[in-house]
Amino acid sequence: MKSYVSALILLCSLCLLNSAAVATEGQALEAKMLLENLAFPQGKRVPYSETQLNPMLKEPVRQTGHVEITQDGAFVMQVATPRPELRRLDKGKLSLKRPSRSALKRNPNQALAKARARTLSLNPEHGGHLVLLAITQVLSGDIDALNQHFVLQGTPGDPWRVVLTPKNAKVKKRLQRLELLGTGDQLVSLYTQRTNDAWQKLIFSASELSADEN
Amino acid sequence: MSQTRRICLLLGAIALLACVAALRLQLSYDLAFFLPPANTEAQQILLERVGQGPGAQLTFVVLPQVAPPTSNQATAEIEAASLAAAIRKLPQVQRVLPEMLSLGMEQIPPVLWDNRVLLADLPTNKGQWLEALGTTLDDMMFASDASERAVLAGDPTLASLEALQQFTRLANDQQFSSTEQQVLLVQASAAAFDLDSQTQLVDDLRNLLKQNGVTTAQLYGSGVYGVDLQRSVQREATLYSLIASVALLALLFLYLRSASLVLIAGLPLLAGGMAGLAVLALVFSEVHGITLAFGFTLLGVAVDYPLHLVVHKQVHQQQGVQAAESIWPTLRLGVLSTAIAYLAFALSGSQGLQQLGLFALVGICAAALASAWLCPSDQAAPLQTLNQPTAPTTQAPQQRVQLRHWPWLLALLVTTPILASLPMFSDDLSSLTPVPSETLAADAKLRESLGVTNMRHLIALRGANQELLLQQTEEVTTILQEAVTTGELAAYQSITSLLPSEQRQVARRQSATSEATIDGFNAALAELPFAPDAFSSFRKMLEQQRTSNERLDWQTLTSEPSLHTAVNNLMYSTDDGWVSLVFLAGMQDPAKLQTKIEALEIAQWIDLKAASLTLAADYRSRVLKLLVVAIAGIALLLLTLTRKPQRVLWLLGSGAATLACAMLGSLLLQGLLSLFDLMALTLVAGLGLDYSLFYSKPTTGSEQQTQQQATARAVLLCALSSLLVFGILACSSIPLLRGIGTTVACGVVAAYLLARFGRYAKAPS
Repeated sequence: MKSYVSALILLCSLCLLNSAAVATEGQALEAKMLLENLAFPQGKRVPYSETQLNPMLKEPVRQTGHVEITQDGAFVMQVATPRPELRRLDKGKLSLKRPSRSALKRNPNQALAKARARTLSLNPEHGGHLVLLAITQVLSGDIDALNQHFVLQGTPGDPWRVVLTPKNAKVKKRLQRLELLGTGDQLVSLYTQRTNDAWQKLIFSASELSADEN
Repeated sequence: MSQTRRICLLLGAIALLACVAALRLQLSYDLAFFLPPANTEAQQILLERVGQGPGAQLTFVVLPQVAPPTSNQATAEIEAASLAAAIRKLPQVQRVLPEMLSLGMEQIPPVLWDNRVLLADLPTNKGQWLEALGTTLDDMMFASDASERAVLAGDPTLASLEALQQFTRLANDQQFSSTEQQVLLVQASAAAFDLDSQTQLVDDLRNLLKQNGVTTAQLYGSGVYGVDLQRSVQREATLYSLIASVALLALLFLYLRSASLVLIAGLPLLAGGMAGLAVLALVFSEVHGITLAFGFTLLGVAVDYPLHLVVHKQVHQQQGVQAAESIWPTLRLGVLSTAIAYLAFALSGSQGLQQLGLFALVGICAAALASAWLCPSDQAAPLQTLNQPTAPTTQAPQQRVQLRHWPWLLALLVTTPILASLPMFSDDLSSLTPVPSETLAADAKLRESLGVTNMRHLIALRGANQELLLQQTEEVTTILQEAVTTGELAAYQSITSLLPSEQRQVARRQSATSEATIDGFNAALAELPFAPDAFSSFRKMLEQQRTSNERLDWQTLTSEPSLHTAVNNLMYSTDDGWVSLVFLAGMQDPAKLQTKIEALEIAQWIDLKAASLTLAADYRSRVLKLLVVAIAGIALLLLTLTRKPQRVLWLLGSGAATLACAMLGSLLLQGLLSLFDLMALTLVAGLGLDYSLFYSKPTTGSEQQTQQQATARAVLLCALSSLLVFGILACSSIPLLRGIGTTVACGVVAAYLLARFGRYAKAPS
């Protein structure tokens, strides 16, 4: 009798495991399909707002500007407020232009153009860098590159949802997950949950979703 | 005394000398040994810092890009980043560029973190704090974890990171990767001349690349060249010495047909080499590897001495006469003349050339004495039963040696105009290194494209004490900072970024802990979205600084392993006091900046390229002057000992023509001449003089023809053996060895032909 019970339990466990694996595999396929259907316009500026909160802040801070996937595949993020800044991600490198406040006061129109660019190679083992790489890969449709560093889970619907969980254990300690929310072939927001109660949310296309929903 | 006994005694002496050399000899591969003495301040700085500047400690790892360079580039860069992370873990590595933007606490040495308030001026009012904390807010966008936020919380102006970044900042860091290659810049913790550490680093790097499946990566940098030079000199010196020795032995055996005669011909050379080594080991604490490689080359002339004696003795014995002693005066003349030429190098000033000159000088004298010992002029006993196939059997009519002047005149007439129309000498110090010119060109291109700290211009300050020197350096950096702000200069590296003067440290501490500063900080913080306790660690540090009297000093900084090399590069002590160097990167107009710096009248603008060119030119001029004096000395010696002006004129004329032919051959086959080619030409002069002396040797008495025959055979054997040895050397893959081989081989051919056809035997009237 005991052996029958054991066999039954084993069989049930195997079924459960199998169904979990099938579900995960299915979710990964869903995620892939959802992301492949994304139609982020190339060469067109899309307005965005970015909000973040961490333990050093008493309230969320907000940035606005526009993002663009250029014709040559680079991701450009131009911060307009509160202070102009230009970030360009191209082939794994980040070029950052940030004028000083005094330069902005002296020449507000030219300060950004004249600011010296700092260029850095992004390291996928760095949580902050991986987020930037992931944004570029999502918007440029490079799903294979995304698959290298994240486990993808998609939930279809309207809005649909794709969750990216870092594969690297070291990164996992700093970055819990990325959550993409979209409708149809449009990406609406990208939410980043870091460890220690820190989060960041990027909303595209003047969406009605507000930062404090989270 | 029997021949066997003489050989045994000589072998004993050689063994004794070898023991002395083995016990005392310390080898070095520091190329600075071959650099000439300095005459100016700029040259002094150049020599003091050679191999120690920030650029010299870099190793470039060039990874080939995947082909075709399309969308895989991003993946390749990510692979390069993980390779860089593995390289960072090597014990001899200080840092690897490009570095990710990281605010990690682990990056900052504790000594800098604890004294961060002393490293930069803090904002002093609310407006300045608003700007500074606004930047902190922006930086927080990249702070992905608690450790990074802890850095911002404790050092909101990032003074500690800024001070560190002075030493990693590059002008064109976006050039690290292209469609053709990925470059990783490895900064070693040891200086380029610390060959043990560099060897370990280069081996570890190569192993790591191999383990990661990167088999086609190229390594560049002073340390790599030093390690490769050491290995290639050892490998090639061993290989070519072996090949040349076997070939020489085969030639001698074919010619002399006697193993014991070959032994007698070889032993003086061995004795000369061992004597040279023993003397070097006793006189110098370290002997350069190149000295040994080239010393034995220069000693090649000594193989002629026993050959002359053996061949003359052979021929004379066949003729039934013992007249070998008759060549001793000629041989002595050759030895003395060559010794004078090598003496010029021993007096040259560079330690490397001094060693080389002394080694060759002692070597040829010892080889001549050993030859005399083995073939004494009063020895009547036959050396061997000879099997001489071409021995004349009949007595020919007596002839007289006549000298022709037209061959050397013709050679000079043909070669001199061509030589005059060609650039002759390279004043580039890099020509003194045996590193292939293609490698140096690739290195220079890499440095230029990456904008690595300008290796050409720097600013030097000297001071009797550290404090005064630091204050003066701060005056200079004020001007440099203005140049950075206006874009005239991309960046600079100065000791004052890590070690401000005591005067400035006191002022910064007072300002940072003043009420105005703290009030301004609090007021700005209230207007920004920071939590009230966001900078509690910063506040705590300011509180501690209020009562602290600690100072940052040179000893504390140099005791921090990660800062030791950088601090020592930027400020070091000499016999005359302290020197502070400021390195510059990305200059728009060097002359304009030079004018501003020189106007301060406390610092010297150093153009290392100009200094190196003048250094090489001054040195060449000095060596040439010494050689002219040596030639004059040789002419005087020849005139005094031969008392025949016509013969001396012929000897000097043939020597000059030989040198002109060798120079022309060398210029046409390998390009501009370096200091090492001057040494090769000195050897050519020694060999040429040797051949000419024997061919012009007057013969008397009934054995005239025998002597002439012996001379012809001996000189031919000498020329063939030299041509063989140096011809083999001309096949070396080390450009310097190849150059010497080419120059001497050309010279030997010219010297032999000029001596051979510059005399003829005239029947008596």
